Amino acid sequence: MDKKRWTSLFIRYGRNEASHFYNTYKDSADFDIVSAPTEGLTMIKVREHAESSLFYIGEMLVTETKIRQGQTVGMGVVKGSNENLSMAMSFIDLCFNLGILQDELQDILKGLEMAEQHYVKKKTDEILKTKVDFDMMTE
Amino acid sequence: MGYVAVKGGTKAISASVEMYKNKNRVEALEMEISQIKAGMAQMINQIMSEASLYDRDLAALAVKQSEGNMEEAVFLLRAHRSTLPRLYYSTVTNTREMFVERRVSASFKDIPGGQILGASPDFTHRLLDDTMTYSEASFEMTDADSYGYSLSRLPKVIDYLASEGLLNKVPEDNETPDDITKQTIEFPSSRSERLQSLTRGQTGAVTSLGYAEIRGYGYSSHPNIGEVRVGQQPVHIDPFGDGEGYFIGDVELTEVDAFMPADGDAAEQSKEMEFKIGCGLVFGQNETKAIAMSVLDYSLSHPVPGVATGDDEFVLLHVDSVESTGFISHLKLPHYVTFQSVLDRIRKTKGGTES
Repeated sequence: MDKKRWTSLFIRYGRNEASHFYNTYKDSADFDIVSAPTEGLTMIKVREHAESSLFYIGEMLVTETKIRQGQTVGMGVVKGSNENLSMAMSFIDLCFNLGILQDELQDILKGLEMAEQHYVKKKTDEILKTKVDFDMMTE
Repeated sequence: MGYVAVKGGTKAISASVEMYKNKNRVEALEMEISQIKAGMAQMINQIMSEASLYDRDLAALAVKQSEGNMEEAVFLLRAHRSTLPRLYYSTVTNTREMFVERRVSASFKDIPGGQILGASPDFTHRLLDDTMTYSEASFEMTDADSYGYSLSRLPKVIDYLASEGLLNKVPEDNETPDDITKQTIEFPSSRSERLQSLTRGQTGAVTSLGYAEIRGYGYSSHPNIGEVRVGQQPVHIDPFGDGEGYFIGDVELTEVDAFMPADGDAAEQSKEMEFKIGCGLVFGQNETKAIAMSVLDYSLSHPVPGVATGDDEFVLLHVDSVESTGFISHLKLPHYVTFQSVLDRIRKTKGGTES
C-alpha cells in the first residue's frame, strides 16, 4: 500500500486508531523528535480546466511533526490544528520507513478499508437520493 | 490656524477597547466553536474563501471574535495567516478527483453521471422557518443502491463537449503559477494572478462585477453554466519530490465551468463558432461567487476596450476584501492635517486669510 493510500485511510477514517497505535507502540522504537508538532500553512496548487493552467487557490492550516531514528525520518502532516494526530502519523510513517510493526499496521489498515467502504457507500447513497430522474417528469 | 503635532486619547482608546470587548461578549462567549461551525457553515465558507485560508475552526473563531462581522473576520484570518510559516506547496490538485456532493449542469439535461442536486437552498421557499426557532435536528435516511457508482470519478461536462468535437482540448500548461501573496501584481496581470485574486475576492464585489459584465457592460450576453460541482477535494504534498506523496486532508471546493459562445460579429459569420470557458474555483460551497468568478475570468481574458470589467487593474485591485474595506473604513480615522490643508485652500480661494 503506497503512502498516499495509507495516509488517507488514517486521516479520513482512523484518527483514533492512529493515536492508539502511537500510544501502544511508541516505546518500541527509539526515536528523536526533529520538530515537535508545529502549525503552518500549505499552499494549494490547482489546475483549472478552461485553459488547463495552474494557480494557487489559497492556503490550508496544517500541523507538522518530524521524528527520526538514525537517518530514517518519519513525517506527519495533517490538515488543521491537531498535534496528537500529527505526532501519531509521524510515528506511523517512521514505522513504515523502518519496516517495523508491519503486521500490526496492516491489520489496522484492513479495518480502515472496511470503514472506508462503509462510509463511502452510506455517503453515496445519501447523495444519490438527490440525483434527478428525468423519467419521473413525464408521469 | 497652524499645524500642530499632537498625541492623546490613550485612556479613551483603552476604555473603547474595553467597552467593545464587553459589549455582547457575554452572549458571544456562550457560543461554542462547534456550534458556529455547524450552524453558520455558509458564512464560514465565505470567510475562508475571502481570507484565502482553509480552516473551519479558525474561521469559526474569527466569527465569534468579530461578532459575525464578515469583513472583520476575514481581516482576522488574513492577519493570522501572516503569522504562520508556509511549510509546503501541494502537488497539483485536480477537481477530476473530487468526491462530488453536488453537481448540476444548466446546459445539458443528460450529463454523464447525472444531475446530482446534493444539499442546496435553490429549491426552497425563501420564507422564514419559525420551527427552527427552537429546533432539534432529526434526520431520516433511506437506503439507495450506490454499488458501482463512484462520486470521486465523475466525468466533467467539458469532456463531453470535447468528445463531440465542440471544444478543443487544451494541452496542460504546467508553468509554475505566480503568487500574489509573495509578489505584488503587475499589470498586465498573468492568468494565475487573476484567478488567485478572484478566488479570494470579496463575494459581493465579485458577484456585482460579474453581474455588470453580463448585464450590459462587457460580454453582455448570457453565459451557459456547463457544470457546477461541489465536493471534497483531496490535497497531497510531496516533500521529497520522489512522487510518493502524503495525503494531508480534504478541502471543500466549488468549481464552475461557464460556456461563453464566441459567436463573433456579422462579418465573421464564415468563421467556425466555438466555445470559450470561464473558470470559477473557490473554497467552500460558494456557488454564486464561483459563477461570477467564471464570468470575470472570461472578461479579463477577453477584454472589451473601454469596458471596466475587462480591465484587470480595475477589477483585481477592487475586489479584495481587506484592501477595499480597509481603505474605506480608514476614512473615519483622524485626517486632521490633510483636512486643514483643504480648508486652507478653500479659504484662500474665497479670499480669506491664510492661516
